[in-house]
Amino acid sequence: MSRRMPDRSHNFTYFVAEGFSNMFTHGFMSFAAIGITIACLLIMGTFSLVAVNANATLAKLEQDNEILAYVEDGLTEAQARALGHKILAVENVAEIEFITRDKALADYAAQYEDSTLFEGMESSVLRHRFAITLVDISLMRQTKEAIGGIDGIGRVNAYEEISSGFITIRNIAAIVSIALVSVLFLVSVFIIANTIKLTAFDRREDIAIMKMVGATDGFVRWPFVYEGFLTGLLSSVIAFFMQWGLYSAITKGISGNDIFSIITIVPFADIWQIVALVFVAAGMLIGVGGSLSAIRQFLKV
Amino acid sequence: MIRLTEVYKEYPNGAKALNGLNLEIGDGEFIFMVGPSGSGKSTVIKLLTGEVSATDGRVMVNGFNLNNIAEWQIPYLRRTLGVIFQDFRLIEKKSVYDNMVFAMRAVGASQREIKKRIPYVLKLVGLDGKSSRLPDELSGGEQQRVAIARALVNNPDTIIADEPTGNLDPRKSLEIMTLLKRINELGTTVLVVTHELDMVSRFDERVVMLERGRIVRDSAAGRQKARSSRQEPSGEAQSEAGAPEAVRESAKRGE
Repeated sequence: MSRRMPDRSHNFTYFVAEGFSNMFTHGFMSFAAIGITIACLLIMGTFSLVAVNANATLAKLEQDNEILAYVEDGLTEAQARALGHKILAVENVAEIEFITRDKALADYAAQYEDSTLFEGMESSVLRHRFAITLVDISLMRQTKEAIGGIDGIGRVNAYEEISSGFITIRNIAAIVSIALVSVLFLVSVFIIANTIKLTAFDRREDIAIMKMVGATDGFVRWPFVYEGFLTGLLSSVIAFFMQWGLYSAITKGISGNDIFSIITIVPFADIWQIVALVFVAAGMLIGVGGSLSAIRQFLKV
Repeated sequence: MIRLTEVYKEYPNGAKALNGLNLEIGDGEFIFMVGPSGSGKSTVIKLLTGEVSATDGRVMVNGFNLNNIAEWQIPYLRRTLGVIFQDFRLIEKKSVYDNMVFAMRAVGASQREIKKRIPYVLKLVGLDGKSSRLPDELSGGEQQRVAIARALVNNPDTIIADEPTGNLDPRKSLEIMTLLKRINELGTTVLVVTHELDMVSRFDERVVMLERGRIVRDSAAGRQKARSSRQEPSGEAQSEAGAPEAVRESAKRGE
């Protein structure tokens, strides 16, 4: 045993065993820490998933916000269709759909209950057109100008104010989500640090004895770190399955209700890996961070 | 070796605990430190264990200069010390053996060292056969023996006992003090802080008395003075006797 030289070895098995046994020795406090971590992860997770779904819904609505490019009158249908290649070649164009005069009229008439209003109306009053969806709607103005410059395209209709409205909403939603999740994360670390502080307070005498016989701060700290790690890991696994159940129940309720048909639901199967990863990382970070912050004051002996 | 030279300690609240304290404890010495409450005894222990630092003066403990000791070195200073408290400070949930393991693990001892050292130390303090007991199952005297065993288990240079018999009856107190004396005879320096003057008087050992943060009596210093006065008269005595010239003459002659 080293009396005057720094301890270089890291007794991994001893520290993990101590951390593990401490979880059981101080069962009630561990239970409280795990319960609080699960609650915090569920709150953060639910909020994040709401944000993910809101984002997906907004993205879908953005995609629905199409540009309409009207073909000049003098072109035949075949000539008009041929313009599609030129439009697709424009940067930022995702998809195009060619709409003939006849289809445009039919679509137009279909919007009204009284179809007799359009009886006898010639489709030649309308133009062939392209419905264009974009990759990035923030570049709508530039794309609109590029499409308008193609020979054979007469007029381009784009609802720039709507697209900029969507962009603003998405940006605000992203900022609010990040801010709220960050605040929730900090609150979680604080609550868990205080819970672990109580377990450390329970063991302050043990810590004082260890320090008095010559234990280094690291030696005292490591079992707490591993305990925090194990607490965080266990909490995150439990919280993940609870989140899964909660998400499935809520999405099932929403998808069965016509009022919420506007909402685009991201299937859990598409995001479970990222949810699991974030939960485990956040759980361990909260557990280890809480432990380190909790034990600091008891090391000053 | 412990050496405190002109040590002052003033706490942040303005309380002056030590007021120019000078103390030297040689290797292998047994020393009692006595004094009324507030005389600075506890502060001396805190200084020696690195819990507090001196406001002024020099503090050397077992080769560590505590005036410029780095924080990371304090655990290594403490490994040269074994501290015993009045209230034993044992971990109630751990057996006698596990309390010892806890202390040895804390300094990075191997399993082999633990298995070899603990039975030896428990036998030394008269607790062989009680290693599986919990502290609650032992008498006060036995609990203090466990605390002594724990202090000894890492083979310290110095044992510091802070009122080790404060919670014990006179018979147990004598047993504990005798045990500490036996440990001292095996080569460990022992500093016992106590206010039990009756107990102190039963041992013919050096006694240091503190009052208001200073040493007001040091029996060892007295003995040394007496010894040196027999060999070499003090300055005053010399002048009274008119001897200096004679001494100088002897020195010149190489006597």
